[in-house]
Amino acid sequence: MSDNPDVIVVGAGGGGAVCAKEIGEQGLKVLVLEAGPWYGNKKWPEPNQERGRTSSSDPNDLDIGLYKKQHNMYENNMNDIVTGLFRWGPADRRRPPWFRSIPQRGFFWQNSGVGGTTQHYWGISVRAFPDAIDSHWPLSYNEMIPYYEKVEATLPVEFAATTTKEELFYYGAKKAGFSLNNTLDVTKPGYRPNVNAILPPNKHLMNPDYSLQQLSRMEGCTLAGFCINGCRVGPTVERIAKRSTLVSYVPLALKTGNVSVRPNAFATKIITEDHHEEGTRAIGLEYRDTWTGRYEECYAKVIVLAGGCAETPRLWLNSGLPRNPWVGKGLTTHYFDWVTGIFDERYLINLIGEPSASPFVGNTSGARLDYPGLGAMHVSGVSPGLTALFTYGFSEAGYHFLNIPGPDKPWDYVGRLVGSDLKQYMASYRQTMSILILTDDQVNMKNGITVNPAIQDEHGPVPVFHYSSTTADEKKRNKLAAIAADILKQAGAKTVIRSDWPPGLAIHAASNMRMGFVVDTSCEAYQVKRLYLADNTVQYNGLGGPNPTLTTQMLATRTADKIVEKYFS
Amino acid sequence: MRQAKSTATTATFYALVDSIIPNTPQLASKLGQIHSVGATDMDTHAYLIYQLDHFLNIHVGFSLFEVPLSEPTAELLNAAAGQVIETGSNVEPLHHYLYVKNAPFTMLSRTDRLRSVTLMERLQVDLSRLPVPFQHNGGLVQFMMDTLNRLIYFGYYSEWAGYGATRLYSPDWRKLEFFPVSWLQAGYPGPAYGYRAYRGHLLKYPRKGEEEHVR
Repeated sequence: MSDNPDVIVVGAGGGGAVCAKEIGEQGLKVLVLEAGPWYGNKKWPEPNQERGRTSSSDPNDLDIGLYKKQHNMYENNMNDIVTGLFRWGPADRRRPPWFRSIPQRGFFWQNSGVGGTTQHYWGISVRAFPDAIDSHWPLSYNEMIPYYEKVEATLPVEFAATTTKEELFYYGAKKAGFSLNNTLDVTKPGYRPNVNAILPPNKHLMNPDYSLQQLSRMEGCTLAGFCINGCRVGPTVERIAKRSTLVSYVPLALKTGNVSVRPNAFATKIITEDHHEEGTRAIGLEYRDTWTGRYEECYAKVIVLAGGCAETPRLWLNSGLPRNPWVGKGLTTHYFDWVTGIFDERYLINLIGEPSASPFVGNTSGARLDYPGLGAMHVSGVSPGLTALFTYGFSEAGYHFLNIPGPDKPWDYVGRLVGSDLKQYMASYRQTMSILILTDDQVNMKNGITVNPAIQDEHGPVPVFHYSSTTADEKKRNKLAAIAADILKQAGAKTVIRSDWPPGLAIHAASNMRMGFVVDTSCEAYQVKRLYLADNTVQYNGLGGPNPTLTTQMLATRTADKIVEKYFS
Repeated sequence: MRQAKSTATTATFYALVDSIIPNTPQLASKLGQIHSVGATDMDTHAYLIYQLDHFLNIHVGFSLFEVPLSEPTAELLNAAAGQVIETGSNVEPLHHYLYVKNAPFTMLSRTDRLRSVTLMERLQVDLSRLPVPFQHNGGLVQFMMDTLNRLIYFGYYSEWAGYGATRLYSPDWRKLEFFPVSWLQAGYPGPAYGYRAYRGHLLKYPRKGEEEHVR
């Protein structure tokens, strides 16, 4: 089957897996090439040590035992950027990760493997702000709604359950003067539970007749914490509680009987031809087997790229496709920041009946505040290593002791903490609550991905990432950070720390092959027919601040329809 | 086995992790004995060296080559320390008794070491005197100073030290041998099957008849 696919999709992540499932469901043969490994599949019992088989297209290959053995939830094992299971690199963990050149402070956080970066995403599945779409995008928000609804029902999504950190957040947000926003379509500031692609809590969770170990083998979230370190709660691969595409769309794609996924295959070149009617059109791909180093080629009627905001433009540029100044450019990242509150144990007992804000319990993020015009923010609870890194170890401001904030600032610390300050605050890890800031940053042509022919790896010139914020972005971020500090203070935090993350951080990378500039409203490239994009690159802007995954999945669903309509009906 | 590192490189990273996450015996009486343990006890400098030497894989000439970065990065820190010492901009006295040959970074007090990291990350150094690949490459210098910091905080407070005798093996061969001290310091219980911590839902998801939305 995989020898003669109708469509080839590059990347089995947040967008590619969705597109593959939707096209497969319409009866077309799809081959998905994925650069990284496949966890939880019998054909790769030791995916990091042995080549295993070539591809899998049978849902019976999925194996919950293997999946759980491979996802042990230890943060260094899972999320270390050099050696972690979720790193951006080849399946063989003895080898270094794949390099991205980043000539500034920061990092580009992406996972390789089936499921892509949704393997460690937090499941947050919120819609764009309607105001950031209408009169900006070449599509209307109303046109998007049916596709949003389809993805929301398929994943499925739910309003997140409340645990202590969400309760604290709601309490602080309410006292800070915000009201509850009971909607999926946000048009005014307000707080609400996060909309997460996480199954609701198991209905027996509070029943002591069931042990937690038993519950973890049943369907439904057990509030085990750290969606970011993977999720291992569920009876089968396809019923795992956190709905990465590895456990949601990929199993559904296999069930169509039309989709074959080939992991360990890194796409290196788009093959094109000049057609007398269509002009330049994509006809195939060259890819490299990451275990053997062999280059192979495959051909299809349509090619879909979904390798993410670094690899998709890299592939375009390294394939010598027609020049377009917007390829790789205009990148938005939501110019993140991180604001943290430390609470007093006795205060917490009085307020919520527990001595802990429990950052390690519940959905990694279960509550958010949206603020159209500025962006958004959400409560965040991560494991100790990630907490230390995000809160105390990552800052544009440098070390706190060399850079003490003025008395008029709404936070007590800015920048990296060291020594006994650091250790004392980390000793209060259980009383720590952090808020991630997502800025409505603007498209800026200077930001994005280029390639540097002087630095090459086995897949050609490597991506070079650059991002700098504008004064307008900084103003918005400062306002959001002040709101977050106020929410924490209102909730009763005795100390507030603003990390002041550097601009060179790409986690919500988006919009660097934009609709209307590189692709049309069907997400087909203007300059290369039969070449479609189905990842964050096609977004017109940063959606006003909401997390990008659901919108990419919505567009990938729509693009699948457009592909079938144009080339296969 | 992996290549032995020069004493200067090891001593430089030892001094760096020690200045960020030092031993803090003064916290023992307040918070408990466990809180005196710091990064040098947990070998975080060895983690740093492993990470830097397994970070970069690029084509050099015609073949793919794993470029070890720990040596040039240590030289970078020493170049900054050298500038601090030459210009007399250290705020605290030099510790000559701690000096390791070719590693002036080790001679500085903890805060002066971080001052020299700061000089480097602000690029207030002579970029022509830096080792390859950092020479005249300010972007890479800033990236590396940031990476060093991130690795130290994550390396120490994650479970890495708990891999004990297997900590420098390639990741598939590591075994957790003991509960990490840093997790005890943080009061983190480790990965769990779940928590009976459900406090209800603030909102009910507006689930309409799903069929009508599934096309």
